[in-house]
Amino acid sequence: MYKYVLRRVIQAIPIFFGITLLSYALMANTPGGPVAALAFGANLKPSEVEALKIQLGVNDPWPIQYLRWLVGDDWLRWDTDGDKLADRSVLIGITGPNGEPLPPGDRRGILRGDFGISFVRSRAVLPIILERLPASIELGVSSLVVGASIGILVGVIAAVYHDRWFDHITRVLAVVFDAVPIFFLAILLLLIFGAQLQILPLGDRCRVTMDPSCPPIFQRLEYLILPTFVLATGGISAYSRFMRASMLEVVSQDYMRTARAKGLNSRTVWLRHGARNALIPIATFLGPAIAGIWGGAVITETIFNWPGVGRTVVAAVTSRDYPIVMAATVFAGISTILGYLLSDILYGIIDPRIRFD
Amino acid sequence: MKHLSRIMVAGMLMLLIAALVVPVAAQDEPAAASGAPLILPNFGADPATFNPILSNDGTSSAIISRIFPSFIGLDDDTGFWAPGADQALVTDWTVSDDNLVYTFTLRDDMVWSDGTPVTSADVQYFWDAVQDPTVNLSGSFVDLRDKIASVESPDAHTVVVTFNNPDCNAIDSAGILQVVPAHYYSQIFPERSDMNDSEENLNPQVTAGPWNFLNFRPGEQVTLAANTEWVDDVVVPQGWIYKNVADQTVQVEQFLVGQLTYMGVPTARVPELGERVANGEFYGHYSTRANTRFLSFNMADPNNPQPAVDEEGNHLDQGQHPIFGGYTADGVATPGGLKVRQALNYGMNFEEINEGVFAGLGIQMPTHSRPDDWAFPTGLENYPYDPDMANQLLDEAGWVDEDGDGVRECVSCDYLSVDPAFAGSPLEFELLTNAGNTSQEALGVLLQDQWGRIGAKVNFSAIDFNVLVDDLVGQTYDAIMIFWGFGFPFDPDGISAVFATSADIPGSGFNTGSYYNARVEELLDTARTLPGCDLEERKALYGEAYTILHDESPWMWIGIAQTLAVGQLSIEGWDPHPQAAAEVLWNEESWFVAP
Repeated sequence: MYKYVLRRVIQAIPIFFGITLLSYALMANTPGGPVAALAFGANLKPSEVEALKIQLGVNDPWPIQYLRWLVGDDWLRWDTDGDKLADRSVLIGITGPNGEPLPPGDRRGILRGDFGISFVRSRAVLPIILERLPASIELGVSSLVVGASIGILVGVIAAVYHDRWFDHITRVLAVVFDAVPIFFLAILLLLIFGAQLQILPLGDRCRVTMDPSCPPIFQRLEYLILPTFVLATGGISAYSRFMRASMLEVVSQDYMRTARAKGLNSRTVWLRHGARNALIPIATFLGPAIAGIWGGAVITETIFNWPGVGRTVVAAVTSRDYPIVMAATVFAGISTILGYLLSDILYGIIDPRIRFD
Repeated sequence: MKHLSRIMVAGMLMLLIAALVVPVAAQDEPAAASGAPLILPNFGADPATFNPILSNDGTSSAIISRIFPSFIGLDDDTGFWAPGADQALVTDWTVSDDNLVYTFTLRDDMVWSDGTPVTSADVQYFWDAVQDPTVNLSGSFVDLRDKIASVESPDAHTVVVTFNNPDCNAIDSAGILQVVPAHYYSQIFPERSDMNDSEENLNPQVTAGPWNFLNFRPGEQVTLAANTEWVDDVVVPQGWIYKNVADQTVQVEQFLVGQLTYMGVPTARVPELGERVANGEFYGHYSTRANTRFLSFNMADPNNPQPAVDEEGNHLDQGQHPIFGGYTADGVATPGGLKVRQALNYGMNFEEINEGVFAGLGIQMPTHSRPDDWAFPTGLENYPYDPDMANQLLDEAGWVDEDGDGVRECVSCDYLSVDPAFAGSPLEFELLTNAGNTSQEALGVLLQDQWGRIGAKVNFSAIDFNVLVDDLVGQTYDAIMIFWGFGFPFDPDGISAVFATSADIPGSGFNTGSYYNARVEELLDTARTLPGCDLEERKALYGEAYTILHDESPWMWIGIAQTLAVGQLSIEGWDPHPQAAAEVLWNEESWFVAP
């Protein structure tokens, strides 16, 4: 198995670079770059606009920009005499718009752990992402757990009571959960339970206080109920239908007939022999779902005022804050690759017939 | 003896009354930090920085203005810069005879939160940072490099600002100088450029204002604590919380259940909340200090954007816009384009727009300044809705609907002199605005419909803001509709940059429509540099310039939508003050909300 994992990781490296290259190319070539909007309010002169472009590193062709993002610019423009002004460069310019010498490059690139500086927030990108990650993981994990556990349970019961009222109702509800837009469901639930009945919080991650952070999660579970449910509806719907179909397929298998013929009770037949085997295909769902945990809840985060990564990334996309967008791409790419790898490993563990050759 | 006992009884009665009255009177002034924190919603992104030198965004400015002193303050009753204002450093100033040198005297009783006195060195540090090319200076201060020659601090309580040119608005420039804790910044930023991306910018430990910085919870809130030792006021609320609320529906609902102390009402909810204010459920205040909606016509060839002048200052041929005109190669304005622009003004039915877009709270504007601004030209009227006049002007401009399809064609329009093949081309143009703003989008649809009635085919699109700005600044558009806040206090000279030849450069500069009128530039220059700076004389000069801009309509002023701010009835001290910079929140330090 170790060889298999290693091989998959090595295979993932070109995929990862492909993702980042494609993302950067798309982003950099999207109409409406970051400079016009940043310079517009300030009524900058042409030379000041050019200086801003150099400062942000968007004055060069996009392949150079990508290279700078990837491996930094401290080797592209550097200082040899110690006067803190660059006197050597490759690929990029050495002087500003008025011929003035520029400082040496100081970015190290993501391969050396430098995700860059946000164009809009003037801060290192990594802390911006990391300080929002706990909130996203909180919501993502809870919705994944709720979605998967309820969905699988409902799917099993629906299969056991195939063509009975429970099966019909849950199938209709699954379609409803899939069809109702998340923003509508979220607003509806907030208005009912938060505004009218006032039994659940009206959004937020915790109560507004003057404290420096939210209390531990177990002291504010009520804040998780609505956003978790809204975010889990898609999972409940998908897992329940998939599990139901999988169970019904398993039912017709020989080993199920054998189990019944052996005189095992229904519970053991359904759960030990049926559900366990029906779960195998579900493992393929889990990997990609894990990738979606940290950034897949933009609308939910916005409506429930949840301070997660998704909201930040969307704001970065609209303001063309390339370093944040690219950092999100890196995180998304890595977690997706790892998610699928995990999925494959899980598959092998659950199904002994799978071999890691 | 009898007389003495009467005196004693009277004295005892007075003592008794005093004993009853004094504590009650004392209770009228709540103690510092005795009220509940004020919670205000921030419908936007997190603040980017709490460093005044770098701040570019409104969220950051909202915090900075509460934790740092200003250099010069505004008079709450007049809205003008004034010596001795609260939370401001300047107590007095003198001006040299040539109007170039301003000498400011600073107060000596203000201290930073670490006990260090606030002095001229704190202004000097800011100016040094403005001049330092390694600092990623806020765009708000870039202009200062051109306007101010030097800032000097001969002693701890004097700042001398020398301007490059005499300027009647010099005090506006001096007013935006910032006061930063020089001793602290020198310590945490050994090189000034260290501040550019420092995490310390979001953790301001040394401040001087009615509030002290307490904490910043990304994506959630910024919390300030009452400065109980603040010299200017007793700060009554325990704290001031700027709560990030990303959805407007949720924001309104949170206010309605009492989770927010105060908020600006989203346009769509103004009628509903306004009615509840009228019913006495909340405090409310309507403000006319809203962004001005306008439309910019491109008066040059959008397919070949050129600057107005070359490096030697010679005018360049920028071509003409086929519909909105412009200037011939000799710099003469084309009459047909002017008539089209005027016709579009006459073809706008503001009453319909007011009902459909502004919920009846709109005010049509004949220029960019409001009637209560000192430079507003007396007697300047809005374009009335007059479709007959609009049709007549379009006919005169050579645009006639010959084929009866409802859209006029160029029969004898100006552009035929540039391209004879243009004959028969429809009166059709693209109108752009920023996507995501429902009122702007509704406004565009209404204008499209209204102008369709006078034979103009408008292709309206709401597009991404960055793309819109690229088109606007790049001068590649036909017509763009955006809105603009002209600031407070009102700067009558603010439009100089918009209609100046020097600002007509594709890729930068505000004169994106390539308008040129030597008389307007002369009037604005004279009003800015008038010896003695007599207000009435300047008003007359600005009035003439504004009237020309109104008549020639390079920008079509549409109007403003009044805004509504609401507060909970639990606030003691709600007292909106329309002339104050912060109309409702001007006295927030004295608000008391029971904890």
